Amino acid sequence: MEVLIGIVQLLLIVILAPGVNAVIHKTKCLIRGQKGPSILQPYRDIYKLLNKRSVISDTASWISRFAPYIIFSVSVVAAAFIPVFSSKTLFHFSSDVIGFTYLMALGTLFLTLYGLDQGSAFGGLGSSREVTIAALAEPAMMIAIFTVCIMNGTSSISEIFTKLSVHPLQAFSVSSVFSLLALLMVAIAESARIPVDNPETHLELTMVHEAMILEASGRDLALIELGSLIKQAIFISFIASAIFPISGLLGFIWYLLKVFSIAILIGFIEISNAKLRFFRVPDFLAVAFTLSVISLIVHYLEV
Amino acid sequence: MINLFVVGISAVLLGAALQLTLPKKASLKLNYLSTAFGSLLVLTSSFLMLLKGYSNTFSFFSPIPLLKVSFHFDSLSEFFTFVISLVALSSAIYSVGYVEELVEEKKNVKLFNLLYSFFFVSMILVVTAWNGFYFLIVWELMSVLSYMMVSFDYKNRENEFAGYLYILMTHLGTAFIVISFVLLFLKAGTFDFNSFEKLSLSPQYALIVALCALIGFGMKAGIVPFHIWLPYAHPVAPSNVSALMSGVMIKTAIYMLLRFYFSFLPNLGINFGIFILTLGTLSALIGITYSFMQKDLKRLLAYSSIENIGIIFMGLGLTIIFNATGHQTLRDFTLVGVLFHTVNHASFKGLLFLASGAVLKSCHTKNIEKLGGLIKKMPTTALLFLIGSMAICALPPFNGFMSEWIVYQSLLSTFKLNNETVRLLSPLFAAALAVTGGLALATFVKAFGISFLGNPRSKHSENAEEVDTFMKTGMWILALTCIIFGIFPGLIFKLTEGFTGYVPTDNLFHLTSLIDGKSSVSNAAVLTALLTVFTISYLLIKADRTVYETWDCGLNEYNPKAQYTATGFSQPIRRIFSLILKPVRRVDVRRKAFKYYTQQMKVEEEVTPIFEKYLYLPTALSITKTADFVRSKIHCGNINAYLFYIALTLIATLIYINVR
Amino acid sequence: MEVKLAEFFIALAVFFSITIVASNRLFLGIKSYALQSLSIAAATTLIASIENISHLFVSALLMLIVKACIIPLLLFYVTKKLNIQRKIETNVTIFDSVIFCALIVVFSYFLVAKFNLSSRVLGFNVIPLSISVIIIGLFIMVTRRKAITQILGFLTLENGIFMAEIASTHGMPVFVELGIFMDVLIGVIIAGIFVYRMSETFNDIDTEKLTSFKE
Repeated sequence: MEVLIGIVQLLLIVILAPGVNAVIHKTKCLIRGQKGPSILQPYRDIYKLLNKRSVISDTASWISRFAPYIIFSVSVVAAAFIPVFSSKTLFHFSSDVIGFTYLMALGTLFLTLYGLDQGSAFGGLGSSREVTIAALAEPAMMIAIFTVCIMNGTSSISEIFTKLSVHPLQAFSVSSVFSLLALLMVAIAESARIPVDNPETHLELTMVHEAMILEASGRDLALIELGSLIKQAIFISFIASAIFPISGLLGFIWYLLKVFSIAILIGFIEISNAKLRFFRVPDFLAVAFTLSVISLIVHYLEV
Repeated sequence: MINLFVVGISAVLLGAALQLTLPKKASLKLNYLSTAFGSLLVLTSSFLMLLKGYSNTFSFFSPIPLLKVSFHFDSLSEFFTFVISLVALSSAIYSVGYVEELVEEKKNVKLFNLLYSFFFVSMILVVTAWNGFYFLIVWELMSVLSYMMVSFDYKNRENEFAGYLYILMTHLGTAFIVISFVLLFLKAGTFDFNSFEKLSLSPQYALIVALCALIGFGMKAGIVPFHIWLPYAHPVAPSNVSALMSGVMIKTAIYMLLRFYFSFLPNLGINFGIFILTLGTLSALIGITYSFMQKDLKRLLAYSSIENIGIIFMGLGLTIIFNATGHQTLRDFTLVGVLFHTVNHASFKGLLFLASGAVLKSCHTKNIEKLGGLIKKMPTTALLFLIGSMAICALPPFNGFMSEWIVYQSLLSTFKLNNETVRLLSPLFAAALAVTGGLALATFVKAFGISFLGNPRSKHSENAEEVDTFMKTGMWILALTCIIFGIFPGLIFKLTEGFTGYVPTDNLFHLTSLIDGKSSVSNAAVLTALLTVFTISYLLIKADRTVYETWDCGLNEYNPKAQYTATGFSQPIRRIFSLILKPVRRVDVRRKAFKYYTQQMKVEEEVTPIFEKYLYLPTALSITKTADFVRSKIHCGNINAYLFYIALTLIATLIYINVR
Repeated sequence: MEVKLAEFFIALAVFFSITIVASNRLFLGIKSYALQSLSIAAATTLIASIENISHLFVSALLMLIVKACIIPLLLFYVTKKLNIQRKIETNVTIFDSVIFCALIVVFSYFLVAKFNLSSRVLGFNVIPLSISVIIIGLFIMVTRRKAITQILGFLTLENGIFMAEIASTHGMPVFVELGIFMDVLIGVIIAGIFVYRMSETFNDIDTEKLTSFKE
């Protein structure tokens, strides 16, 4: 039974991932006064890409051949850490949050190596920027995570979920709001969204994520994109699960509500901001870092 | 078991002696294979001793007073013997293939072989010494032997300078070590470690000893700000030696610090712990930032050693903090982390140095800017380098992750302490560790990605060839340890149980933190899950590909120079951290007759090593200035002046005696 | 819940002082200042209603009117009127300043923990946060070069003092409070005139130019 719940939660995140992106996109379109593509469009895109042969560079080594699968696997395995409506995830026996962040870094490693593997000028550019952003986002994320862990006295994701879901209202604190804001900023940076990266453009001056996967096509592209979408969904679910979590069926509906609200919020943020110049991104991440420091201090002040 | 150990050491020494009689090529094989055999025996014996909890002391009389040649085996020294012989084993097998190059260069190979074997033995002697006086002798032996190998290629200016700096720094360190031993001797009356253990010193006295030991051994370990010799000495040494130096020699300093802080001076205060923790964090951050800036593959690795030593120091500081506050289990748990990271760093840094040696051997350059595309020329080396990189970036399912996780958990556990400073600082230090991890990822993406992936950037890498089986075998041993220790962390817990006293509740695969007993990690589970998803997706989504050229913006011919360079790769971080890196940019533009078209453009960026520039250089300058003054004014060559000095000394002595 | 909301607004004030530091455009900085004043006003209102202190309501109202509306509008006006370049010029890069501000927050907490400066409102220690706002205000004044940004730094500092005052004495008597608000307003007006003069004389409001007054 536990395994079944775990699989359902995992599949939920994986299946929801393109949908979340579609909601963000739809929000943006609606605000712009456009009709926007259907919510199902990302699913159709991925389905179509999965049925296409991929073209691979003659410079590419086995890294390029395996990296898409590895990136996808890492995202799926990381998704198995995240509780949606029950703390019994597939990894509930060892769902350490630090282990989770380092697992995500494994995906980053292969994505950046994929960027460098084809010997293209763009790939290196994307990889260089990606590792920079990843390195600078790390401290903000770690302090925010530490604050949440210290608040709940545990570093296991499932345990945090359990503790929060027993008394959702009492467990709420000011410092957690700041931690979650910091995590939201990190999530925006890590999932390559405005104002850090623009997912809608292929402009060499600005692109980060797209530059790395410029050489990918067909199934490879589908896998990498799906992996990135799952990563984004993981971040959003992680934040959603920390806001007044409820377990059970009601919790499931509540979770969907939260995820889509966060997606709409991100849509709003995207539409009301311009993409930052790359060397402004560190400032953005530094603000996220400060937010998490404030959350830590506020937590100590509250005790 | 002890017999096995003695046989092992004798085999190494015998091999080193016998090889002198053989011709060059044969001498090489005999020496390294006997070293490998010997270290294998030592490895086995130390492993068995650790499992059995063997402990014994052997003392031999010597005619010199206070000097006693005594060997001691307890779980700590056995553990370090285990680490040293592990790296020595793989490095020795590797050397059979690697040192051939020296034969071709008509170097004195036999001398080198001798030094190498003796170096290994001297390290073993250091970690088994049980008398301060004797320890200093073997410690010096180890330093001098490594110095000789660093400056083996002494005609090369770079090597000469590196060796000079190294011997200078290491002797400065030895001076402090001597002070700390003498301070202990003054209270104990003998140099025996036994009597040091029984001392009970006043806190201030203990603090002074601890600080002297920190400076002395920190110099060897390469902790910031005493690290400056490391990035010079490690790259120029032959790679099999750098693997030993970076992998294990700097760990002997950790060994002695553990002895000092937990056996001789067990009552150090919490503030000293915070100090060590801060020092470790600084080292980790500064080490990795500079590492990312390097374009010399081996220097990059040397700086990354500073980072890892920093992480070990963080664990050490935390252990002292827990020790001072009486959290026994946390102390034990963190101490396992310290030892775990020690063995991990030995294995992956050894592996990376060996792999970079393989690159150096087949490309004759260690400049990353000139490499590229090696993954097709040297597939095994590339795979091994990747394994090492993933382990050093602390990515699951490799071993680096496990030890860093323990450090993180210990940092997190400090919220239970009743000390504001620690509670406040530890999340910040965790953030620093996180940014270190992020930069380590960046560094090794650069090191692996630029040198092994893409297209060759020069003739050097175009003509690269895979190395021979000996070298590959040597590297594989360390790569396998990276994987095994990652998947079975319980193994290290078992091996360190004697010293730390931490008895884990888990099985071999699982590691549970002490915060609430519920947060745990298991590399085995992650690996299984990854492999499952990977296999399923690989089978379901068939890789069906057409091969075509890389898109190059529609230019006629592909130019490998269009690829990102190592300097370019690290440019964003250099710019963002310009406050501490102080980058200097040189642009050299060569134009054609018409001035708007550039023919050639060369951009170079370098970072300023701040410690050298603002701390060591001024000190060195003022010392030479003083020396100049002494030479020109006091040492003037006038015989009357010298007689005057003698008279002055005589009078001063007489006055001194009278006053007493 | 109200208590937590008050805490939240106070913490938000700290955050907005950091966004002033992080902003590279003048308007963004001024907006952040307005938001900071707004959140302090909200926190004051909440504290007034929880602790039932009527004159704090007046302070909150003044805060809202003077600091969240009049002063920002005044600054906007000066900026537009003088055609000041909207880029904020700094002596320290924005990234370094923001990281430094995070350290300031930690440092002020540390300071209070060491010297036991606790004074609790609502079971929540406001002093470290207000001290950090004060130091951040000073930091802005030290590192930013334009006269307008120095005014912003001063105003931030003043807000920090207001927070500390609310926390430690539950606000001053109404007349004192009124006087302070008057002072600040007049101060800003004078500073505005000063900036105007400066731009007339130098065609610029970079405070570096003031060094030319040195003999």
